[in-house]
Amino acid sequence: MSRTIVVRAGDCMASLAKSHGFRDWRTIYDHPDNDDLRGRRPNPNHLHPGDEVVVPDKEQRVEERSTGARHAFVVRGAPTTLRVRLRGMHALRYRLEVGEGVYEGAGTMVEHDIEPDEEEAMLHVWLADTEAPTITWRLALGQVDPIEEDSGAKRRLDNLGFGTSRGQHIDEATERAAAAFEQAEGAEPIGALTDALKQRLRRAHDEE
Amino acid sequence: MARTQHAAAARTAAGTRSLNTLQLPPLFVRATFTNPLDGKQHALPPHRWVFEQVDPAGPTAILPGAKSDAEGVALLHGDALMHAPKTRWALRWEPWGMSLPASGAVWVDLDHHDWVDDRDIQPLEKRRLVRLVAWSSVNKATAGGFAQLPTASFETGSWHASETVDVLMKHRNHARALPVCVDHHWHRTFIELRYFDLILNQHRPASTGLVLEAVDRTGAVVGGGVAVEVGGLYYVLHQRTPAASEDVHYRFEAPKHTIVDNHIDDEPQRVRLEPNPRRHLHHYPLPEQFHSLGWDVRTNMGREPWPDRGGELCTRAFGAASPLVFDLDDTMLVDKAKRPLRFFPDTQVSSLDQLVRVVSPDAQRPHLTRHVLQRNYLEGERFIYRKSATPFDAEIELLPALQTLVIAHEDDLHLLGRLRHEGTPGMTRGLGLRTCAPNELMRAHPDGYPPMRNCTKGSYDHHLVPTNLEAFALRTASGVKRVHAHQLISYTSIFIRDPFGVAEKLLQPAADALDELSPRNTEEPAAFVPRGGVRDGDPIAFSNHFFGRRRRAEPGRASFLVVEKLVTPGARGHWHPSNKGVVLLKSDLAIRKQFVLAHELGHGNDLPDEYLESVHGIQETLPRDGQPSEGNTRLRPFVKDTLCLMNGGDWWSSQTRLRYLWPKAHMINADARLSAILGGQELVPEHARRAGVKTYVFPNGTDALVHGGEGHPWMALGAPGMVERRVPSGRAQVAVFRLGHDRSAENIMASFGLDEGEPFLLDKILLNAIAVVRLNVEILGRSREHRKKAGLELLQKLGGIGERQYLLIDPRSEADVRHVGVQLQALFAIDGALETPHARVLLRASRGSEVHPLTLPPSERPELLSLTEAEMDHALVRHMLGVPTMGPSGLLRGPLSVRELIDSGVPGLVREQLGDDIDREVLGLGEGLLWR
Repeated sequence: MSRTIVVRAGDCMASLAKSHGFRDWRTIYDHPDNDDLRGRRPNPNHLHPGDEVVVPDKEQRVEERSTGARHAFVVRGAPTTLRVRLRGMHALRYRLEVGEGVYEGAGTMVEHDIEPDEEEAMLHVWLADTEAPTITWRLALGQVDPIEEDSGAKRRLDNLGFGTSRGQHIDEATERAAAAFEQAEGAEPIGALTDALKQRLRRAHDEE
Repeated sequence: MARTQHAAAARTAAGTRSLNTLQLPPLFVRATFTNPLDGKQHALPPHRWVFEQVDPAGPTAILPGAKSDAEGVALLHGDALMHAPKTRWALRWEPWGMSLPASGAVWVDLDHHDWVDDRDIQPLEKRRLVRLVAWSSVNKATAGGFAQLPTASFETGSWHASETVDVLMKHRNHARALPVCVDHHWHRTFIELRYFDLILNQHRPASTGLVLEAVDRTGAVVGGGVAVEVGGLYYVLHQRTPAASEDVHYRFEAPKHTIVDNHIDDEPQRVRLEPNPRRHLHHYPLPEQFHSLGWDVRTNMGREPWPDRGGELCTRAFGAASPLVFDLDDTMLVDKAKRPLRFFPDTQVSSLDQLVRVVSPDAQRPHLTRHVLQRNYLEGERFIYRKSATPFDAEIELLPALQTLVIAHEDDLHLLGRLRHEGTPGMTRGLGLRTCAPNELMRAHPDGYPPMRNCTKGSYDHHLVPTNLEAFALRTASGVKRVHAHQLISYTSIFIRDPFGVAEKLLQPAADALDELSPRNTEEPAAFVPRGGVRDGDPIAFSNHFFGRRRRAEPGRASFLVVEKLVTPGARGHWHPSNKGVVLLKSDLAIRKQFVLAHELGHGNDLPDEYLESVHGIQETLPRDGQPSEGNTRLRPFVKDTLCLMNGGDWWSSQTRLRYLWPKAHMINADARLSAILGGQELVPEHARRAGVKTYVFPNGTDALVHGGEGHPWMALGAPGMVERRVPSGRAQVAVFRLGHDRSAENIMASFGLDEGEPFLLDKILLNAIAVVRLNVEILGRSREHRKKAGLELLQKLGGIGERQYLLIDPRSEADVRHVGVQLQALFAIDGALETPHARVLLRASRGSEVHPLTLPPSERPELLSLTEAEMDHALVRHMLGVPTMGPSGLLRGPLSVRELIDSGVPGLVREQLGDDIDREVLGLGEGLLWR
């Protein structure tokens, strides 16, 4: 019997699938009972705390094969990736530490498969040829709320260097950050999380 | 150093393309500038910050930031700095929406909180502006520095990525914006530009309008400002630190016809353009250029010379409460290298009536003065008298237009003269400096030389003269043979020659007599007042209060000095060594000093002596004084004209000659830009029925009369080439001639002016505001029939007098010299009915069109003359030069009132006859002519 769960901070469809024993996040996301969710959250990677997700029962699947022979069954995988773009920076090298995995590279794009239920990653970036990294980001995985939500806008502002405040609420710091973002974008600074601002943020943060 | 940022990231599920973007925070900068109105930091008007690549190998990379907000906070990303970590970057700001000029200067409109392009600054800028320069952090690292910048490497542009990140992290939002005062540590100076308001008789600031520039030793602009307060307080913001401003100077340029309108008391912006020169009257025309080099400046520590080679004064802070004060009407004498000439401190200096061109150090702009030249203007202590003539000749020679300058320093009288032509300084110790006006006149002559063309001699030219009366003249130990009185009017140059062996005691009576003359204290400081303004190229007229000096009673005290020459009848004008006893001193000053005065007044009008003998032949080492008679002059007609005033060697030498008028005519012609001479029109006196003075008005537009004779310079009077000649100077427009009376008690004085039916105002002439010429002629004295007749005949013959031509002639005298073929261009009529058997003294006072002749009985004349001669003469010369006069009781500003005249010692009879008119202005002192 299917059950409904409430999304918590850090959840995304991939992490929910893994935690509920589904190899493919689409099993949950595409379930007919989640039609409404899909309408509100078109991006399965951006769920908002409080969203309700219907987790279907696991269905026993029967595959008939003849005996006396060897049969190969392939479990369809559903890898999860962490994709980070370094804007305005060119990393001489970087090191991504996620769980047990350590990945290194260079350039402006960091992209590596991770376990879907990893909650944190450390991204060390070297902009100069120094021993210590120039800057380190502690990444809270799955914490990027949908852009439609104010919290999603805040997180994106933070990621783009326009620091807001902690928490979900909209305060003066958030508004100043929004205004600064608009300044930087060459727009008239308003300082409110309007739809237009969110669209700007989405383009700046989510789109390649 | 750990730099850890928290960020959120979305996991990208299989089959999706979610992206996370991480970016360093931008740099927030809060830019301010110091508002001089309140001294506080105000947000910079809309601007942006940019990172600019330093020393790029290729094209300069500029990374602009965002437009600042209302609080002056702007942000810019430092991303690119990390892209090219080995590149040096500078941080600078620039106004929003405006391209910076090459100077980098931009102005803040304090009232509108907006930018004004440096290229849009008006010549007369009435807005309240502050000049800022958008210097980068690297620039400022060498000239002031953003002290607020977080790291030293920001100033040098050598920061590295980690440091940049640190800075970005530190100033990553609005609240933590990096405060930058863009004029931090820059030198700020409040300056007041003052002038002396003649109407209010006080100093007043030249209020808003001018644009001051601060320049360094190379002339590069290193700051600037305009007036930011109604009171005319200029705020100059430098783009250097105080310590780096040691060589700062200030300058401004004002458009032509810029005046300080001192008629508008409540109008804060008194500096304005007034293209109509007629309206310059009573205003203070600003110099077109001002430079502080050599200038004196008033500070709260007193009056100090603005250093030309740097110093503490340049770097001292001058706030609004105690600004630097430059007096725009100060005078400065500079040499060709534009170094100010200096006196030693506390030198008391007076200048006699001279035209002296004083130029600013960096231009050809004359300035006026009203200050005592106390120091720092001419270099050297008693340099003239010390016979440091050679070096000073050189220096004075460097003053392009300094013709003569007479200085009374303590007990000594110094005369400076300019070597006009080549000469050996110190060899020709010629005296007899001429007034500058005629000298200028001569220089402007198309023939290159003075009225007496045939008299041209190199030795005529003036030299630096060690004329100290006491040492050079009166103390001549070897004896006195002859004393010439020269330049009695505007300056005294008396020299003694010693070719005859006459005992010195001959001088003694005269010296004693000098002490009895009315003293005039020259120790009062002279005051020089701008009047009527100056224009480019104008010579400057200095007034004086000095007529000579007393020798015995008070050696250090200047006094009216009259030295008269009395020639024995047998000499008849031949001053020659062979004429024994030719020259004596006459102590009876009351009798014939009129001759001397008239003769010297002639000098004052640049008439040279016309002695027959050769001074050169008398003694090689003695001054020649530019005697036109040098060399073989016996064949020259004028030296045979022994009756002429400038011959001076004859009892009868009291007559003016037409040739004497040449310089004045030329002066008038040239300065008034005359172009026409009256022809065929009858000259009708105004107020024909009124007894006394007759005034003849020359109408405009009359045709020129062309006359002239071969070989006679005075005949060039009507030559079109000369008449139309124009010179930039614009001074003496009036010819004043006074003739001494001869045995027949004939006395003639005449003056000429330009009039428009108003009282005579020289300033108007200077400004060409008057188109009609008025000729005033007074004939005092008993007429002679043939004289009258000759004049009338000539008048009839010529039919009139040229417009703006001024001729004065004693017909009899000219009749005497007709053998030289004089052809008169014009003549004024003599009203025989007015001629009286005895000389009379007329004092005319006028107000408006009213004329009040005042007749004094002949018996009163001596007193009047004795008391006022100097004053009169001085006033006349002053009038001629169009400058104020230092009277016995102080500066006579503008017209000399009758009251002042009376207070100065005119007999009570004058007072009685003037009655209620006592406060009326005496003609001849700015408002008319003074007659006697």
